[in-house]
Amino acid sequence: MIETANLTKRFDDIVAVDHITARIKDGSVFGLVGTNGAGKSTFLRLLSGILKPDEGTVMIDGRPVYEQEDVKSRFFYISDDQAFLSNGTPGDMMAFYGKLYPGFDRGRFERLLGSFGLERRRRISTFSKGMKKQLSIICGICAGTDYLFCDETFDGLDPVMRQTVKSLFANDMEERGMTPIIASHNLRELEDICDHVGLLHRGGILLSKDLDIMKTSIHKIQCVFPEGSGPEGLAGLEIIKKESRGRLLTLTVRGEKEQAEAAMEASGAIFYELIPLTLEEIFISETEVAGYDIKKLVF
Amino acid sequence: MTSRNWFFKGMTEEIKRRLWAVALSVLAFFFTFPVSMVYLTTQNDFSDARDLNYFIDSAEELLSYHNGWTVVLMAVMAVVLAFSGFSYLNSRSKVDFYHCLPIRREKQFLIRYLCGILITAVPYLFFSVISVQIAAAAGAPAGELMKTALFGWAYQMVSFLIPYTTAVIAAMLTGNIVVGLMGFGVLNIYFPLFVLLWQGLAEMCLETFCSHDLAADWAGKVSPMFFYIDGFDQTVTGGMILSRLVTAGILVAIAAVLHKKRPSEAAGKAMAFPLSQPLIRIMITVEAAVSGLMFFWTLGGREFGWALFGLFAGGVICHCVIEIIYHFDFKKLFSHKKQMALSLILAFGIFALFFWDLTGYDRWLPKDGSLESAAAYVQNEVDSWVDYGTLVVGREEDNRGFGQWIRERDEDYLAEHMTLKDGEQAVSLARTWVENWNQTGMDAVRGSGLPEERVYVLYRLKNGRTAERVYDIPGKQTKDLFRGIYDDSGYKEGRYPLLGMEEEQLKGIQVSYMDKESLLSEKEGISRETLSKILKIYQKELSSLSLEQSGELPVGEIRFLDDVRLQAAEGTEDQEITWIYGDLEYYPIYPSFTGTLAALEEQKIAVGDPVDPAGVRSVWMEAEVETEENFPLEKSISYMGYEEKDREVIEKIVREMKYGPYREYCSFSDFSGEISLRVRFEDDTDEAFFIPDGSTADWLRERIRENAEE
Repeated sequence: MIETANLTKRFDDIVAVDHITARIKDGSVFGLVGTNGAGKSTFLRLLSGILKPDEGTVMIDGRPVYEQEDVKSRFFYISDDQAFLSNGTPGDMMAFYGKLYPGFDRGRFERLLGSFGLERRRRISTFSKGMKKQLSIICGICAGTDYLFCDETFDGLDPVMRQTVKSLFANDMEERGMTPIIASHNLRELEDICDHVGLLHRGGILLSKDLDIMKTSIHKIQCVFPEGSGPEGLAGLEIIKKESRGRLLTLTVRGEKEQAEAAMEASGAIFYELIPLTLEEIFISETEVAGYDIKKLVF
Repeated sequence: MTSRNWFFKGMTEEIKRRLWAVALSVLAFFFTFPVSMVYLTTQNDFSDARDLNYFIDSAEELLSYHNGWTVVLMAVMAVVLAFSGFSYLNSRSKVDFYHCLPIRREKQFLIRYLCGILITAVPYLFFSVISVQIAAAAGAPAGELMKTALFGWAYQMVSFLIPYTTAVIAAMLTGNIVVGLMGFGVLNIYFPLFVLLWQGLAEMCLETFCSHDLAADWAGKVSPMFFYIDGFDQTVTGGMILSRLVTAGILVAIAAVLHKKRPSEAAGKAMAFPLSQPLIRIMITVEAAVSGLMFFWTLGGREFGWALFGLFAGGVICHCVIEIIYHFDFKKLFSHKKQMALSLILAFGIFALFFWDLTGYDRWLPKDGSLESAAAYVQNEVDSWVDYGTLVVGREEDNRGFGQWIRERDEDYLAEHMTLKDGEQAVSLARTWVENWNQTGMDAVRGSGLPEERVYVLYRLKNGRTAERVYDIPGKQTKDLFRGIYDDSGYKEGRYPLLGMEEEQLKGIQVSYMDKESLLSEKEGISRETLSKILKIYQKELSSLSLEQSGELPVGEIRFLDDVRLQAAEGTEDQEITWIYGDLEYYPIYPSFTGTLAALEEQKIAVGDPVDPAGVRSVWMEAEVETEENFPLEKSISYMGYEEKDREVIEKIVREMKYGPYREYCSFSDFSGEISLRVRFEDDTDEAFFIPDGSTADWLRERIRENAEE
């Protein structure tokens, strides 16, 4: 398990990561979302031991990360602008990482190279941006580490490749319990893969929740009430947001599905329908409650 | 890296990554050694032993640490390899790539650092050894050359660590390669320039500052590159090797700590460490401000206004340039105004320190009871003819007609060898100067129009420290003040190396008068006892010489030769090398040295014989002559000359003329008003003489005025 406590990093006068305390459980996919400059990359670079925290700690299973070889051999970091060996080829990268990561799977590396259509002997500097991204993901997956830190990893991949990569992640999570931590400025990319999401803004963490909990504890209800009555009588439901178009009301409420349905039944609504929320909508609601305009933060 | 073989695996990967550097190194050393050696073999036909010897000399020069090209090449390689090895630190993506790996930064540093050394050392050694084989095939002694090559390689490699590690430190301190190269320049030039400015200010502002050559002396101590260059032309000693190893060790430790502490986020920035930014900014700005001040102060005739202008111009421009470099943004040029102000204040403070002599440097005198010993000498007027140095004849190995006079500076020799028996005499002399200064100031002294003499004084204090001063004192006063010091036996023992010569060392005596030279040696049938006797007499007479006696014009010159000097005086078997020794280390034979003159006469050597007028063809006379201008009717002084051919006049001149070159031996003698003569003899040779000021000189001056052509 990765834990950060009071983690802070400043660059001159800018506080890039501001006292973040977070816990990332093993076996789940942790999504780190936020705008450009929110501190996602800095947070990942702190987790990777690239940056030394100004304050606070980063621990993996209770052990600090910075300059600890055995701890660092438990994760692989894929940067948003991944560097490779100068004049290196995928084959060189395999040899290089093979010496550094004891669990590096050379056979799988060769196979994935073939599957992705990447030539083993071709110089990486001649690869396109997307090909480099694919190679970095292959390296990361084949390193056989417990954790995989991905910074904007899906950025630059075509939709098919995104799904392929997600499948690979899912496979490794299932087979060997790999824990990916994925930073992205795009919520839609993380929706179908993340178990837990943390929202960063201005270096601080706005919220951090399990996606399932978020999805089951918040609902959008479209409903119509008889003339002269309204949603005021929805017992036990916390209405986060209310929009009306004529007599059609759209409510965002907090509470379990059954609880929401029971409340709607009891409210005397002429018509009601529970509509599933997208991750984006959940975040809009949650962050608006927290006093932020999410549209300015993420989209 | 978790494997035990992390080092070798890391080195292998690093070498693979830097194959271009390997190729560069291989090419450089291939052309430096084997190609050059093959070229040398083609430049000789080896028809005789002399040719072979010349080839061996050239081959040794090529392979030894004396090879200047190798010194330059190694310095260039040092910079290239250091910056290429650690260039990843300037790129964020590469820093991320390497610093997220499970390998500690110390290991990464070690691998990269050693890889740079290896890339230089292996091709150098390989091609150096190949060159020895090429030379051996051409007939050179392989064993000797191999020894030279291996020692040259080892010494060069030890020396290489200095610029290499300095460049690594520069790379650590900066986050951009261009700024890194500038940083390398600053690390090497800043302190020598600082010492140079310090010396310049002291020379311009202080009256008693005794510089010798402060900047040259300190350059090797305060600059890694000067330290690196220094010593390749000398014979390497164990101390030199040790000092280089220790220096390299300290630099490596600094580089390793910087690498460990260097923040990863420094990639791409001008300066890697926030702390170093203001420090370096202020240091450089202060130096630039002082430089500007000195430049404009000198240019503006030492006007205070120009000094201030220079201070502001140098300081402000430098500060702004540094700000632009630090921020990569022109608009930031006036950032940190307080630091700029502080820099200008500091620079002015340094100037004020010298200009108003705030430390009391000029008025300083050793406190009572604090003086251990002292040395003192007059820089020009007394004994400036003494030569200090070492004569080397023949190389250690072959003795093939090689010779060299390695001159030692007067101040260095005297600082080491002179100890006055009564050091307080030097303090007394200095006190007189300080009192004069306090009463009238130097401007008043200079305004008196009296010629000044420079008296050098070295104080050795009981606390182990030394202090040097030079005092400008009017000539007549100097003579009175210096008389006691001249009579001090410590002065003469330190001033005249000859007084330390032992009888056993003496192998010959050479006497010179005008163009005649006589050599006394055992080979010439002179016994050792006779040689020793002359030495003892001369030493005794020199020791008891008074300042007045030393002002007389000598009647001849003498030098006492040890084994090496005798070889130089005679010349070696296969080569004429007497020119190397020339007229060095001659001592004067004053008229008061009656014992020496008698001893020489016993050996049938006459000095001071008068010139035969019959042998003189003509005399060229020159003098300062008073002439009248037509308009305005004012008298002026012109330097005029003409050739005298009148036999009667020539006879009169020859009777009274003195040998010119011996004037340098005359202490505190005033030769103004003399007539300079160039006497041409019938055998077509000529010599310089002079007629001292007096009635004959006046008469001749009149003849010159009448006969000289304008």
